[in-house]
Amino acid sequence: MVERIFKDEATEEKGERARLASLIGGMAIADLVKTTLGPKGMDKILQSTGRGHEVTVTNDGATILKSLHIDNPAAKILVDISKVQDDEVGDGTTSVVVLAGELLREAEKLLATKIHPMTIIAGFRMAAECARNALLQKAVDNKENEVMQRYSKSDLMKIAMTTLSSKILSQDKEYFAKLAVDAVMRLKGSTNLESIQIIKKPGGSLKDSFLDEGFILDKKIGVGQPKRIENAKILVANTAMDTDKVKIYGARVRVDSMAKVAEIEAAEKEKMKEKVDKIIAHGINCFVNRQLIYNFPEELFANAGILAIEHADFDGIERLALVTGGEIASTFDNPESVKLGHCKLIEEIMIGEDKLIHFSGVEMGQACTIVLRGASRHVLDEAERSLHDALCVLSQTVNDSRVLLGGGWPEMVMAKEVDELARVTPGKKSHAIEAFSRALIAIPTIIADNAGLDSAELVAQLRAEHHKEGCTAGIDVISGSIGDMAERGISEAFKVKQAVLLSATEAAEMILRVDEIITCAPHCLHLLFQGFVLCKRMSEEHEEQEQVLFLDEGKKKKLKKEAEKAQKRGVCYISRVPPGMDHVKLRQLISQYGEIQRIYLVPQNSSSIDRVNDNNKSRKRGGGSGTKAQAYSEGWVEFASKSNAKRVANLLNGEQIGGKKRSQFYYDHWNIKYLSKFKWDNLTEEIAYKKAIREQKLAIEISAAKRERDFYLKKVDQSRALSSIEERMKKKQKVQQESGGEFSVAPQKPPVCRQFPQKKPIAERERSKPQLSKDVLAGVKDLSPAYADRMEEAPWLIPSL
Amino acid sequence: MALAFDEFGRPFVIIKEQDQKVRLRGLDAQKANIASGMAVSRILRTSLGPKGMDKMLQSPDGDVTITNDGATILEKMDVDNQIAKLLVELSRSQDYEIGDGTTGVVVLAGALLEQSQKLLERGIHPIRVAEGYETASRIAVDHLEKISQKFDFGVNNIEPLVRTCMTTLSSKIVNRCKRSLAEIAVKAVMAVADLERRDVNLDLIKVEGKVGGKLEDTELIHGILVDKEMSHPQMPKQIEDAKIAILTCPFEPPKPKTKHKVDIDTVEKFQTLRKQEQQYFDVMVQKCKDVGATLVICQWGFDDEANHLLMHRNLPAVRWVGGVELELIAIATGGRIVPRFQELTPEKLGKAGLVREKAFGTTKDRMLYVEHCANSRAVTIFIRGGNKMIIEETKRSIHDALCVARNLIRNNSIVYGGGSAEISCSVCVEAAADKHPGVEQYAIRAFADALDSVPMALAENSGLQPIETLSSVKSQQIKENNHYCGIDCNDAGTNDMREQNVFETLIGKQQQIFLATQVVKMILKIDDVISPTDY
Repeated sequence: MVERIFKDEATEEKGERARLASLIGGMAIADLVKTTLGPKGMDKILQSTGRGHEVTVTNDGATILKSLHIDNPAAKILVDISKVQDDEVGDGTTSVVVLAGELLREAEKLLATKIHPMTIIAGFRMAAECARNALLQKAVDNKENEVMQRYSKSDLMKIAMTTLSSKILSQDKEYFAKLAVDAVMRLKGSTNLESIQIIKKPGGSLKDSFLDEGFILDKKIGVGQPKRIENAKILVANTAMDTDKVKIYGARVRVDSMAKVAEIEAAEKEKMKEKVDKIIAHGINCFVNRQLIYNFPEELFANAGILAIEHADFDGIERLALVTGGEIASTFDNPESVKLGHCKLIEEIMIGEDKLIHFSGVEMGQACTIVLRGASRHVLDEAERSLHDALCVLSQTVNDSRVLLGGGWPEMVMAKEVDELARVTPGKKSHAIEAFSRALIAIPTIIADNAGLDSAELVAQLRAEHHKEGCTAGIDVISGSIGDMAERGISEAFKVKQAVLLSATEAAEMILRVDEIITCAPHCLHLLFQGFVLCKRMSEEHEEQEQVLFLDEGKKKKLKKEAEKAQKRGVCYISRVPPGMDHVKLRQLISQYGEIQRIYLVPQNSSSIDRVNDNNKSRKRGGGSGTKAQAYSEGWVEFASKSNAKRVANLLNGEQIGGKKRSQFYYDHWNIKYLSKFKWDNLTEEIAYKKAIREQKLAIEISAAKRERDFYLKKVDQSRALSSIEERMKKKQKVQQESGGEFSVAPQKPPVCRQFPQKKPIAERERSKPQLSKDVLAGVKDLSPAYADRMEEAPWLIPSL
Repeated sequence: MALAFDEFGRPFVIIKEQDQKVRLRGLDAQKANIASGMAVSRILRTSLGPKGMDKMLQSPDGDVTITNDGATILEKMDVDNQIAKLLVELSRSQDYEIGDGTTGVVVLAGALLEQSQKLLERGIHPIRVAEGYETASRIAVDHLEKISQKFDFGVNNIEPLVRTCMTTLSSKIVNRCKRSLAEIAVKAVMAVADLERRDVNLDLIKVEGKVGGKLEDTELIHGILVDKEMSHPQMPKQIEDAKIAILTCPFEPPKPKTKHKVDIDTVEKFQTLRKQEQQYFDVMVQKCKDVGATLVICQWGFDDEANHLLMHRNLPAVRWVGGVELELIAIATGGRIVPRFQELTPEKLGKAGLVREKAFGTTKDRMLYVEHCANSRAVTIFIRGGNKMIIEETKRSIHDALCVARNLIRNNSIVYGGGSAEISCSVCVEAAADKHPGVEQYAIRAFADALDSVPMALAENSGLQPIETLSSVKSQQIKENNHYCGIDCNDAGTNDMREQNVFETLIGKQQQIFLATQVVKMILKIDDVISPTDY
C-alpha cells in the first residue's frame, strides 16, 4: 500500500483521466458560448445569485464567462484568455474561446489515436505560425494609401459595422458605426477610452442615441444660479467645500463657553468665505468641484452669479479638464497662474425626464459623450457593452490600421495555408497541423450553424472558392450564401484576429501539456469532510462485511472498535447560533459539559451547494482584521456518548449561556435539542449522494464519448480497408492488361449508391398523385424500401435492435 | 506500542496518550518512508526534460497554476506526509542554491530510495547502505569534475551563456521563444554582474509581468519599470534628463508618533493653525523645487492640496511606490532615499535620462519607465503573455535561466546535459564498486543504477524506449570513451550533446547529487515513526 502523501481532502488526477477532465472542461466552456458567435448568434440570460437576482442579457463572451462560477481548472484558463482578450483588444472574446475549444476537441481525437501531446503541441505551434504568416500576408494596410484619411475612415466604418452586426445594435449598425468612428477619430490615436463618456438614459429608442461634440455632466444646476452661461470660464477643482478642516494631526477644538463656540464657528465661516472669495477672484463664472459644496458656499457662489456644480465623479472631472483645457486645482492662492477652462456655452438640457448640464463649443475636442437611449435598462447595458467593443476595436485599429475581410474569410485563408503546410510536413506532426486547420474551419461552420444555414454545404463551397488565387469569398449570413466580402464591406481588424489565433493556441497548448491535476483542500469544511471520510469508512465496514474478512486481524479489530464507538455517539441540534459564535467558541463552551467530537455550523445566506464558493469569497473579501465574522444559522454537535448528549441538551436548553459577564454571548440563550436515532452520517449523506451522482454522470459522459469515438474509428478503418481493396483490384487489372493482353473485366463491385428519402417538388407530386397511394400500400404490407435501406446501413439508429 | 514494565511486572506509560498513537518500527518504518518518498518523485518524474509534461495545481482558493518547475509543483502540492515534506524541502534548497534542476534532484532521490528498498530487502543494514551511497556520491562528484569543461565568455562573447540558458528554458512552456528569452536573461545578468568579483546580485534584476500582448513582446529594459502613474492626470507624461527626489515622507501634515493634542480654544489659534498648515505644504514643495528636482517619487500618499501645488509648480510626482521598487530606483539612478524634507540636497537626487508613462491595451493601465539611468546596474525584464498563468510560468522560467547564468559567472565549468553526465557517472561508479571491499559494494552499485534512472526518465518522457535507448547510449559511451553521449530528446539525430549544445552547470549537477544523497541518507536512518492516529 502506498502511503498517502497529500492532505485528506486534496485530490490528484493523473494521466489520461487528468487530460480528459481538462479537455472536457475546456470543451464545455466553448460549447457554452458557441451559440453566441456570429451575427445571428443568440443571447444568454444571466441571473446573479446576489441580492435582487439581477438579470443581464448579453451575447458578449467575456461578460458571460466572467459571471460564471467555474470549478474546472482548464475551464478557468479559457475564461482567463477571454478576459485578457477583452482588456487587450476588446472584441473577439467569444471567438477566442470557441477556437481554443475546437483545438481541444481536435486534440482529443488525436490523443485517442495515441499521438503524444508533445507532438500535437509541436504541430499546433507550426500551424499557428504558418496561419499568422498567412494573415500577415493577406492583411491590407490602407494607411499608406494616397487618399489615406478617407480610405482608412471607410475601413473603420466597415470594421465597426462588422463588430456591431453581431450585437444588439445590429438593427441600426450603420448609425452606431458612424457614431463610434466619429468618437474614436476624436481621440487622435490615443487608446484611452476613458475620455469617451457613455451616458445611459432609459426612454426613447436606440435610434435616438447621439454623439455629443461637447461634454455632458449628469448633474443639476443649483437653485438660484444661472441656467445658461455664454463664454464660460470654468474652474475645475478638487477641494473640500464643506467645513474646511484643520489637517494638522491631533488638532481639536476645546472651548469653555458657548460664546467661544460661536466665535470659532464664525471664524470657520470667515475662512470659507475667504476661500470662496479667492475662487471668485479667478474671474470665473462656473465652478465645478469633485467634492460636496455645502449650502453656505453655494449661496455665496449664487450671489456672485457663478454656477457651482458639486460632486462630479473623478472621471467626470478629469474628462472635463481634458475637454475644457483647464487644470484640476486644489489651492487658490495664485489666480493668475491657474489655467482656466473655456467653453462657449453651458446650458441645462433635458434628455428624457432628466436634466443634464451640457458644455458646448469646447476648445479641445478630445473627450466626447455618447448618449444612449433605449427601451429598458437591459437593452441599454447590452448596447453599452456592444458599443464598448466597437470602440475598443476601432481605437486599436487606428494605431494598427491593418485590416482583413470578415465573414470567415480569414479562417479559410489560414486553413488553406495550414493545409498546405500539413501536406509538406513529414512525420506525425502533420496530423496535428491538419487538425489545426479543421479547428479553424469550425468557426465559419459555427457561424453558419448559428444562422440556421446549411453549414456543410456553405463551408464546402467556400473551400472550393478559396482554391482560386486572391479570392475574397466569405459567408454572408444575411443572405445565407457565399459572397464577396470586399464588395459587401465586411472587414475585421488584423490585431483582433491575430490575438484570437495566438491566445487560443497558447491556451490549448497549456491545457494539453498537463498530465496531472492536483487540487488542494479547500480551507474550510475540514470538519465536515473528515466526518464524511470517517462515515464512508464505517458504512463500508457495515455493508461489506466480506471485505473486512480479508483485512488483517488488527485492523479489523480497530475498525470494529471504531464502529462501536460511533454507535455510542449522539448528535444534538442547535437551532440558533448567536451572532459572532463560531465552531471554536462553541466547542470551548460545550466541551465543559462533556466530550464532543465534531461540530458543523451552517453558514448563513447560502444554500448547501454554494457553501464552498461562499466561504472562499468571504475569506477573500476579508483578508485583514476587522471584517465581519461569518454568521451561522444552525448547527449540529456530536457528543462522544448518547446519554451525555441527552443530558446536556436537557440541561442547557432554554438557559442563558452566561459565563463571564463581558462575554459577547452572556445574554444569549441556548437552543439545543437532542436528536434521537440521528447519526452524523445522516448529515453528510447529501454530500456523499451528490458526489456519487457527479461521478456517475462523468463516467457516463466519458463512456459515451469513447463509444462514439470508437465507432467513428471503426468506420474509418473499414473505409480505408475498402479503398485499399479497390486499389489492389485496379492494380491487378492493369497488370493483367499489360501482360496477358486478354481483355477480361474482373467482376467489380458497383460503388455503393445510397439513396436518401427526399420530398419531391410540388409540381411533380401533383402529376404523380395516383402513384403515391401505391407506395403507401406497399409500405403497409412490408417495410418500405427506404426504411430497410437505412436499417442496413445504420442499425444502431434503431434502438430496439 | 512498546510497553515497558517495572520490577513488579506492571506496564507503565512512556509516551503521553500512548494508546492514541500509531507507531511504525524497523523495516516497516523504512519501507513506509521509502514508499512515500517514491510517490512524490513519481509525480515529478513525468515533468523531467524538454518533453516533460506540466502539472495543473489548484490552490485552496481555486487559483490555478500550471507549471513543470519541480520546486513550484512541490510547494503548491499541499503535502501532508512528513517524508514527502522532506523532499519538498530538498527541491526548495536546490532552488535557493542553484535555481535550476529542481525536478532532477527529486527524481534522483526517488531512484536512490527505490534502489535502497531492494538492498534492505536483501538484509543489508540501512547504515551500510547510507555509507555506500556517501562513498558513491563522492566518486560521482569527482568524476563530474573530471569530465567538466571550462568555457570562456566575456562581455562581448555571451554566446556560450545563451546556449546554456537555452538548455534550461527548453524544458519549459516558453521554449517557443527560448532563444530571445535566453538572450534577455543573459544580457540582464551581464548588466548587473560584477565580473571581477565573479558575483551577481539577482536582486538588481526585477522581473515584472503584465497580461496582454504576446510572449515575443517580452523585453529587457535598462532601467526600472514601476506599475504606477503620475499622481495628477495633467502632469507631463515624459520627462527627459530627470532629476529624481526619492522620498519616504508623505506630502501631508506631520503625524508625530507620540500621542499629542493641539487644543484650539480661541479664534486666533484657529487662524494661526490654518496659516501654518497652508505654509507647510508650500514649504515642502518649495524644498523639492529648490534642490532642483524635476521628478518626485514618494513612498506615501499626497494630500489633494499638495498634489495640486506640485502640479502647479510643474513638479511631476509619483505616489505610493513600494519600498523594494524605491530601493531599485535609488540604485539605478544613483540617488539616495531621503526620509525628511529637511535632508534634501542636490547630491541626493537621482538622475535618469528618460522617464515616461506608457499605456497598455484598452483599459486604463499605465506604467512608468525609468530609463537611461546614471547607474545602469539595475535592469527590468518585462514579460508579456496571453494570460496570467503563462506570465507566472515565464517568470519562473526566467528565474531559472537567470540563476543558471549567474552560476556560470561564478564558476564557468560546465558538464553536458541530456543525461550524458549521469550515464558517465554511473559507468564510473559501477567500475569503482567492483574495487570496493565490503558490503558497501552493493550500495555503490545501486547508486550507479539510480543514476541511470534520470536518463531513463528523459527517454521515457521523450517517447523513446527507455531501456533500449539507455543501454545503447551507455555502450556507445564506453566503446568510444566519449563522455558526452546523451539521450536525444529532440530527435535531432545525434547523440553527441556537444553538437546539440546542451549544457548544464557543473555546480548544479554536483549539488543535485550531494543533496539527493544527503536526504536519502537521512530517510534511511529513520527507524521509528510515531504519529497520532487519524481519529
